[in-house]
Amino acid sequence: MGLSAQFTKTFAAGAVIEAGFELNLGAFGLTVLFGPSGCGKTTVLRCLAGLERPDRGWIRDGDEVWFQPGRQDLPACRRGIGYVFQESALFPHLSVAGNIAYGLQGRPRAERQARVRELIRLMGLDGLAERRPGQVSGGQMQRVALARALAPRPRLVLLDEPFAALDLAAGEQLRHQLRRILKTLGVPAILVTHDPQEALALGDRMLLMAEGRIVRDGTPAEVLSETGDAARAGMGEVLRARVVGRVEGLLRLAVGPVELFAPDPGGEFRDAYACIRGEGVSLESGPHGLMSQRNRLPASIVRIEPHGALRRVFLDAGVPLESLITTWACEDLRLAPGQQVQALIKASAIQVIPIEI
Amino acid sequence: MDWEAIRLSLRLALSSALLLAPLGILLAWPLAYGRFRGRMLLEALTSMPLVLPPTVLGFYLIVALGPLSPVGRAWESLTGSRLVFTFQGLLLAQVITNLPFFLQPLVASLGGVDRRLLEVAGTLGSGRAGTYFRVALPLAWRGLLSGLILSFAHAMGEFGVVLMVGGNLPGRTRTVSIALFDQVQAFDLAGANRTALLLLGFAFAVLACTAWLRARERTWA
Repeated sequence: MGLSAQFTKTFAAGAVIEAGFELNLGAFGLTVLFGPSGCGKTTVLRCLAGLERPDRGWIRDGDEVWFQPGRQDLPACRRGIGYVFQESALFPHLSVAGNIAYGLQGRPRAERQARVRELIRLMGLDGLAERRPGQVSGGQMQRVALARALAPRPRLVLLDEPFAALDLAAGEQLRHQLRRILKTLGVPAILVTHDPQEALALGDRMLLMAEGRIVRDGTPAEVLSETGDAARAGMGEVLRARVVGRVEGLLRLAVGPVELFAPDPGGEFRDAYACIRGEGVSLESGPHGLMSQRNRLPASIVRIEPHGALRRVFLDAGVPLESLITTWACEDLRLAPGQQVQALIKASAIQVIPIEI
Repeated sequence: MDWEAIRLSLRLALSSALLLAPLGILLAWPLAYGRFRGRMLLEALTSMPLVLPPTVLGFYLIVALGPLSPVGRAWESLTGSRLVFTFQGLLLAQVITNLPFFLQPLVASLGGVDRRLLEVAGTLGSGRAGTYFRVALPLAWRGLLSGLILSFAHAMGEFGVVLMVGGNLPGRTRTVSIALFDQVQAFDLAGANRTALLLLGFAFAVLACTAWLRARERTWA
């Protein structure tokens, strides 16, 4: 059991979308397809689902060929893939229950009803079964769309920016539950997003797309750090962290071999990413005596790069760090690669992104 | 008032609309969503009765349905009666003539159905037929209803084809519009006036109805 996709799609206007990756379909796992708007993420999903036809390449699940030019083009209805659009695209002529039951056609009535009830409960849609799509909120509509896609037990569910059309609170709420829901049902998923925090919080794996191609494949933290995408998104260094305590509204985090204090975003979690922006890290030369002070780490300078009017100092403090300081400060401290310094990290400059369980 | 003619017209129009519905629903599918080469030809063919003089259509129908044609002969050996100058022949002619009046609003409505809904239906396991009957058609119900009403109304007033194929047999093929023609020929202007007014009022009511349906089409968008 494994999805193998390797295809190219050329549009009349000249854009070329290329994708090549493998995906395990046996068990739950959330893969984030990440990249800026217009880079071709949606096209990749549509080709997988059978809503768009590639020009070359293949898509297959194990021995079952879904697409191969001239040989096979399995229609969407026979691929067993769930699809959730950005706007929920509910059937306006059916009730909430009718929408969820749509893909269960042909199964015994009792089984259909039981499955619909199960999903309504799982999605927190209790009491809304008989409502029309126009009579529920945006967040509820998207839950119905998700329930509808999951009801026929698809082997893979494709989520095309499912939170984008929701207001902040509704999006946040659904985002918190998404992983748990998919995990409960054991359905692997591909989530399209351009939000790095969403990718970090939800993804087990990240495929990075740029200009129509998949350019990186790894864990979200790796990919975001390696490519500088995290830095560009204003997130700084992205470090894996574990909560070891809570003190006066602050989290005590174990980050590699060091401990840091950071503001608590709230909620129950143990694993998280700590995103440390260079603006919040200042440097001191001088003695190593004040080790007990919070968020003060001995570090050695790896290299120094100009960054506009500032300098970007890359540090090794047991974990990678960077510091953005003025050129004057850099000269006053006579900083140079290899030198030992003290890195002071403002707690407020650390953003904690809980990893959804 | 020629009540016999009115009754006949109503019966003819109602039967032709009911026969048209299944045929039109099947034809509207490829016209709205088909991506094959002959789609334009099919569209032109089914629209022909809109622009063709009814006499031309009527002439070909007589030739095609007459006792010397294969269709006419088959029908005669099957039922013992002829198709031309009978109600059955008239009905068949009406179905063909009124096809575009049924198809055009329905195809337009089908074209207006949100494409993503059709795609979602596909990902949920619906084949093309399932998607058409479970999603597209229910969402295009206003077009379906408009088509039914329009083709019914047009069948009520059709003149040329009826005259060519049906002749003018009282109680069998003399419809209201032909009765009106007879009244004018006989200088019965008062009678013609009543008949004409009836058809006028009917046509206006029907068009107002379909305009109202079209105006409300967007409420489900």
